[in-house]
Amino acid sequence: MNEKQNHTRARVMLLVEDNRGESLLMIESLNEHRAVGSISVVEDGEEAMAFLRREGIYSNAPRPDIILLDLNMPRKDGRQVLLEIKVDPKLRRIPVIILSSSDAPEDIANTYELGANAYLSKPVDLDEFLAMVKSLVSFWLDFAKLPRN
Amino acid sequence: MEPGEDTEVSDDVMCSLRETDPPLGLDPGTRIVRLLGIFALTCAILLGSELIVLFVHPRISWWASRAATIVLAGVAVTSMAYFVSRRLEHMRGSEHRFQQLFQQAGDAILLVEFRDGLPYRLLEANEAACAMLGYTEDEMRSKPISEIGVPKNLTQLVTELTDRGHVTFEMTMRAKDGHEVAVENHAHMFDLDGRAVILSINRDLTERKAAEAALRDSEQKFRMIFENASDAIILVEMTPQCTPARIFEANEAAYRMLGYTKEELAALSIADISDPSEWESFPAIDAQLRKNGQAAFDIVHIAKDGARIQCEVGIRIVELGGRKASLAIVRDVTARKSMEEELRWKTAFLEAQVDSSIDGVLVVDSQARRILVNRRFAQIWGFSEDILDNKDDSVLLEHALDRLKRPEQFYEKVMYLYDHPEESSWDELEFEDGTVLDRYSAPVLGKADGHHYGRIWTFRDITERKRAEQALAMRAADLARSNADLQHFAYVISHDLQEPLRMVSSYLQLLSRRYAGRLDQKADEFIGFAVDGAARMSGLIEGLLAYSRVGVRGKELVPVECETVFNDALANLQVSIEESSAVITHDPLPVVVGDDNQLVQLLQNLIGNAIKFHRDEPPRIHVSVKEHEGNWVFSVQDDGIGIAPEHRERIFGIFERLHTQSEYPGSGMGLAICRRIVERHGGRIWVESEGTAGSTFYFTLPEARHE
Repeated sequence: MNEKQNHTRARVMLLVEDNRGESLLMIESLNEHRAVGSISVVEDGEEAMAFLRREGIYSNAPRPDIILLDLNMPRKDGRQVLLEIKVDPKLRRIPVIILSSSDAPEDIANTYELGANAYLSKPVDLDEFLAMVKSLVSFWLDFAKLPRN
Repeated sequence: MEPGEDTEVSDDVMCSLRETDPPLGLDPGTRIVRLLGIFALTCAILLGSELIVLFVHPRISWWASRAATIVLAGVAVTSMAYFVSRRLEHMRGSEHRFQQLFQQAGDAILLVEFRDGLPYRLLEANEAACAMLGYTEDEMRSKPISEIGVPKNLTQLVTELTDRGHVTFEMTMRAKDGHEVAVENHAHMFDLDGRAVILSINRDLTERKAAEAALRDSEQKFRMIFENASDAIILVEMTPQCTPARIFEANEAAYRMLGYTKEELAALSIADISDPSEWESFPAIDAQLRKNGQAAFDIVHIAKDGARIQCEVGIRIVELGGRKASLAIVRDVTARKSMEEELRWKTAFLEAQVDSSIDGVLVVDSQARRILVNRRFAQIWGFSEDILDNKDDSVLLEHALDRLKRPEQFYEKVMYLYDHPEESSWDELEFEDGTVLDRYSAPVLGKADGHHYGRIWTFRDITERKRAEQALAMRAADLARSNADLQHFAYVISHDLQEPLRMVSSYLQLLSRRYAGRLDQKADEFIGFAVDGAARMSGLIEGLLAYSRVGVRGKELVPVECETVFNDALANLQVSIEESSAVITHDPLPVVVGDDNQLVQLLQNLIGNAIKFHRDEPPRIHVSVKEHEGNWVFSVQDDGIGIAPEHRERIFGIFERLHTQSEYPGSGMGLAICRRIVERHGGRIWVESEGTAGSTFYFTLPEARHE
């Protein structure tokens, strides 16, 4: 019964991305496959933390099942957001997937060190990108068992 | 002489020596005979006088004849009395002299009665005898003769004494305190008033014996010194003329030094054992010897085997058994001379070395007094002649301190080192004018005994080196900064530049995906070119990124198994190998020192190129390696399209391409990256190609050193 509930319940995905082109591309890509549920997009780290802590305008924000996080953002960047999530007992169970155009080894190592659940380097080629998003959705939303709120 | 004594003196000389000597008084028979003699003589004088008167005047009256007789007798008696008194007086004088002789004789004189063929008892002893044996006369006379001393071979001596009347022998007497006195005894036997008496004259031999013993000892001692002397000692005859003198005595050291036996040397003269070049100096030496009694000189002696021996000689004239001789003490100084020569040479060498040194040198003794400075020292410190000539070292120090940037620090160090003579120190000095010196200071210690002789200070001008070092350090800092810049640049390329490119490329693709066919054919073609351009630009950026990472991201160089590297490279190329059906072979590959990721990339790029630029038939590629002058020379040989000679250098440049994208796609970064990797490993890379008959890429890597 619980599993069934899990399957039927709409998933909430939080996308933290300052570049609207990127976020649109991501939304388009997700839409290429099937409905994910709700996708919330915030444009910087501070907004992301406010969303997660339901502060200010986000007082009614849903708790996301998964967070897609860009690293390079103005003000509070992705690494800081990752750190704050992973040290917060209420938030740290939420899987955080890093989306970056960098494949610099130090970036990869650092984010895993901070507790990232996956690091994805965005391919330049659209077809490759679409394939990646498909795998991402399939793995995290279909196969992975996620903790309940 | 006292008259009283005179009367007591008996008519016997010897008996009169002692007043209280009954045994020496005359016996009564002898006295009667003498009185009768005197009476007869008186009668004879009277009768003679009577006869003379009667004969001269026969008719003289009786009275007259009596008177004349009496006168004549009186004259006769008076004359006799006169002669007798003269005789007595003479006898008394003689007796006195004898007594003096007896008492004052230096020798001990004993008078011993000889009875029954043996010395019987002591009759008399003189003062010398008493002194010699420590007795008074009475004590001595009361002693039995045997206690005073009897010669050992008494019987034989007595026989000799009785036969010849005298004998001389040595014997030992015993003194009162028991010690023994050796004497030489002259014994005479004579008759005294019918008794046999021995006059024994004894000479104390103690001193003579001691002197003889001392002489023997001394001779033995000198003989020993002579024979054992380390210097050769040679005794040479002194002849009146200056002629080559004969050697008549020499010691062991002389035989040893010259190699002659005693007999051989005795047959030689001084000239025979001297270098002929020395002969002309002989007259001068001889003259000096005769004038001063001694001479000293250096000479070269010639040993029996012809060896030349440098000698120092001291000669003096000595008397030996009445003969004049020269005693030569000869010291072999060959070793010392050669040592002196070596020392002179070493000193000259050291002085030359110090003076020609590029370092300034100052040597001080253990009291910190300046012993030596070289020219360079003065030059470095800028000391003028008059400062150097000043004997007061504090002037030197003062001038030195004036030049320094931190004089108090220098002064403290100098004082510290003088207080700790065993320490060495090495540091840098800086002058006010920016000159930098290396200063080294070390104690001068005796090698054998560690004796502290002083201290040596060395100053080297390292200003130029310092400047070079500073320039180098600045360049290193620049390089580090530029590396950091490059790293940042790489990041900028990989992220900030890639992101907009992704936007261009992705949305163009999205456009073509969503709207293909809805726009016209040209629009689709345009989109196609745009997407292709974005893709190539992305490739270029990735190539540039890879190139920049060779230096920046390089790992430490460690031993790497090249077989593994080769296999990894092939695994990465698996797809293109399968597509081209390439045949890739290789020799056994060594272990090298390197960065395994980069070496994989190197081989991957080279083999990848060989596959890419193939002819129609499947490519055949061979990887081999050989050793050459401490390097591994790797080669990747293909049978592909080859490279024209004019392009062989170009191809290793950044973004260099020999073909269009449509012919052979690529970023033009592959070989540039290869060169960067090889150079980082300390090797070089080049290509050889027979025009169209394929190419061989070579690269070298240093052999792993086993340490």
